[in-house]
Amino acid sequence: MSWASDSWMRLRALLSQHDREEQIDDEISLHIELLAQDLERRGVDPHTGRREAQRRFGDVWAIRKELSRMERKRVDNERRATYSDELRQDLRYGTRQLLRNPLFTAIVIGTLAVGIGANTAVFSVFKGVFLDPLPYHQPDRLTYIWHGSTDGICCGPLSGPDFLDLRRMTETFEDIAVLSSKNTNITGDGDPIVVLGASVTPNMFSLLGVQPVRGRSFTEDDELGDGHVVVLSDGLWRRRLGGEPDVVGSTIELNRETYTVVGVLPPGFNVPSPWRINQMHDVYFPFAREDISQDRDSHWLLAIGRLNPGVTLETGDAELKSLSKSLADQYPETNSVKTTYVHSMHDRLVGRAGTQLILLLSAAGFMLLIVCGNVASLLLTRATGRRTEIAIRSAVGAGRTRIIRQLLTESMLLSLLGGAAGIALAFWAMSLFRAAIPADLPRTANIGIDGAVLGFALGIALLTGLVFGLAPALSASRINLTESLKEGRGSPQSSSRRNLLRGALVAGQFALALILANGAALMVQSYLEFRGMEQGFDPETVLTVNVALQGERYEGTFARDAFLRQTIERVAAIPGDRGRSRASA
Amino acid sequence: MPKKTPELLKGTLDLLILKTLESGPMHGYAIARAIEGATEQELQIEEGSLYPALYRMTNRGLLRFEWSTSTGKRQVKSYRLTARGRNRLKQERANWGRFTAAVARVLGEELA
Repeated sequence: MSWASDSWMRLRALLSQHDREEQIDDEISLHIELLAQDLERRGVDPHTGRREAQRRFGDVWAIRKELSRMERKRVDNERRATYSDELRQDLRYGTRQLLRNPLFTAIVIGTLAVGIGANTAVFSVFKGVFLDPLPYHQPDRLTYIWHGSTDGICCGPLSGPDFLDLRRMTETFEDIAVLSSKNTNITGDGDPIVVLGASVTPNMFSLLGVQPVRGRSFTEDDELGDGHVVVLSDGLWRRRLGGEPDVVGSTIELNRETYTVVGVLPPGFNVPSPWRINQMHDVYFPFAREDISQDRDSHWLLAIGRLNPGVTLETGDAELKSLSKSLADQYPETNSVKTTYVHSMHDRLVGRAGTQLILLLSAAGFMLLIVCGNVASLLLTRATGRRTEIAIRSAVGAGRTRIIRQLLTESMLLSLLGGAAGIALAFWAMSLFRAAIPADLPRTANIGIDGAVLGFALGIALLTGLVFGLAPALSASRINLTESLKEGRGSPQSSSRRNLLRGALVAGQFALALILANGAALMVQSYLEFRGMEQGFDPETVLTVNVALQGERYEGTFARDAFLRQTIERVAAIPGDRGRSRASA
Repeated sequence: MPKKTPELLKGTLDLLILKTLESGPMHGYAIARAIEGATEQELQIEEGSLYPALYRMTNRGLLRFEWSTSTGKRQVKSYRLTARGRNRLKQERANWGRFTAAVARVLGEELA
C-alpha cells in the first residue's frame, strides 16, 4: 500500500522538461508579483514597485537556470528510485514464487546448472588453451620456420648452415634462433633424474622477450667457449636445488660432467616446442658455433623467428622462400629441392586444439539451447496455473510491459541461480576431470576458471534467462481479462495458441537433440578411427620408458648396448612382464 | 536603498528556512517575508537566492513540496518539513548554539 502511494507520488513528479520549466516560472513570477503588491500597499507607485521587486529578487535568468538544473537532477534521482523500487519488488515477489514451489525451482536450477556448467567448463579450457595469448613478448610476431621440399612437403627442422644463412640475409625477421631438445641426466648429489634439456643459440631468450631473473643470459662468448655453462628453469632450480639463492656461479653435474650455472629463468617460462607438448625444458645449454656451422644436409634444429613489427606472416614466408631459392642455386648438391615454410607459433602450438575445442563448445551450446527449451516449456506449463494471478495484477493496473518485466525478472533470477550453481559445478568438474584431459592437448597448465570465464558464465546465464523467459512471459501477458477472471482458466482461443507454442518448443528440442546426438556419434567415431589408425595395436598394456644415455660414459655403442641389455634382463625378472623391446632415437 | 545589513553567513539560510517551516507549510514568498519579519530586517537576503536553497533542501529530502490551488485561481507551490528536516533542524540548532557561544567567548576576551 505504501509502495503504491509512494510510486504514484513519484510518477506525478515525472513531468516533461517543458512542464518543469513552466512550474519554475510560475513560482518565480508569483514571488515577484506578491512582492510588488506588498510594496504598492505600502504606498510605492506600481511602476517603481515592480522594478524594486525585480531588483530585490536578483538575477531571474541565472536563478531560473540553476533551478532548472536542480529539478532535472531531482527527477533523474526519482526515476532511478522508482525503477530500483520496482526491481526490488519484482525480486521479492519472484523469490516468493520460487520458494512456494521448491521442487519446480530445484529442477529448473539443476537443469540450468548442467547447461551453464558444461559451457563454462568447456569455455575455460578453450580460453586457457586457445584464446589466451602465448606468454611471450608480442607473441603474434613469433613464428616457427620449417624446412620443407619445393613439392609441398613441410615441416621438418632446419640444418645449421641454412639457419645461419637465413638469419644473416633476412630483412623481414627481427631475429631467428634455434633449439634442439635432448634428454639430460642430472647426476651428482641425490638420485639421478632425467629432465628435458635443450641447446639454444644465445639469442633465444631475448628473441622470446625474457631475461633470466638471476644471473645472466647466454652471450656470443658462450658460443665460442667450452659450452660447460647452463641456464636453469625456475622449476628445476626450486625442485632440485631447493631454491638456493646463490645458485649463480655454482656447479651442477649433468651427464657426469660439471657445468657452471650462469642464470635462472623466470617461473613458468619455457621455450615451446610443438613436438614436446606440455613438456618443460629444464636445462639450457649454449650451442657451440661449430655445432651448427657444419653439414648442410643434416636437419635437426627447431627454428623460431620473430617478424619485424608490421610484417605479415605471408611476407616473411615469401622472403624466406626466395632466400631458400638463392641457397638452392648456391648449393645445388644439398639444397636443390629445399625450401622453407613459416607458420605462426600460436597456430602451430594450439591451432588444431582450438578447432576441436570450438566443435566441443558448439556442442555445449546446442545442449544449452535444449536446456533453454526444456525450461521454457516448464515455465509455460506453470504460467497456465498463474493466469488468474496475472489477470488480477493487470486488473489493478499493471501494464503489459510491467507484467513482462516481472516475469522476466523471475526468469533472470532463475538463470542467475542456475549460473551460480553451474559455476560451482564447473569448478568441481574441472578438478575432477583435470586428470582426464588428453595428454596431447597443449597448454593445459594455463587452464583455470578466472575473471573472464566467470564473466562468460554470467553472460550466458543472462542470455539463457532471456531466451527461456521471453516466450513464456510474452504468452502469459497476452491475456483476455474478462475471460480469465470469469472462468479462472484460459479461454479456448488463447490456450490453443499456447499449445502451439509448446508444440514448437518440443519440436525444436527434438531437432536440436537429434543434431547433438548425431554430432556426438560422429565425434566418437572419428576419435576411435583416429586412435586405431594411429597405433594399430592395443596400447592398454604397454608401457614405455625413456632413458638418456649421454655423456662420456655412454659414448661408445657397446656401452649403450650393454646398458640396455642389462636393463631388459632386469625388467624381465619383474612378475607380470610379458615382453620387451627397445628402440633408439 | 535599504540600510546596510550583515551578510548572511554561509549555511545560515538553510537553518532559517528550517526554523521558519517548523510552524507549518508555506510558499516561497511567505518564507522570505517570515525570515525578514523575524529578523526585524536585520538580515536581508537577496530573495531569489531563497529558491536554490529550497530546491537543494528538497533534493536532500529535508523538505517536501506540494502544489495547491489556493487564494484565487493560481497554482501555489508550498514547502513543508519532512521528518528528516525536523531532525536536521534540531541538530543545526545545537551546532549554532555551540558556534555562537564559542565566537562570543573569543570576542568577549578580546574586549575585556
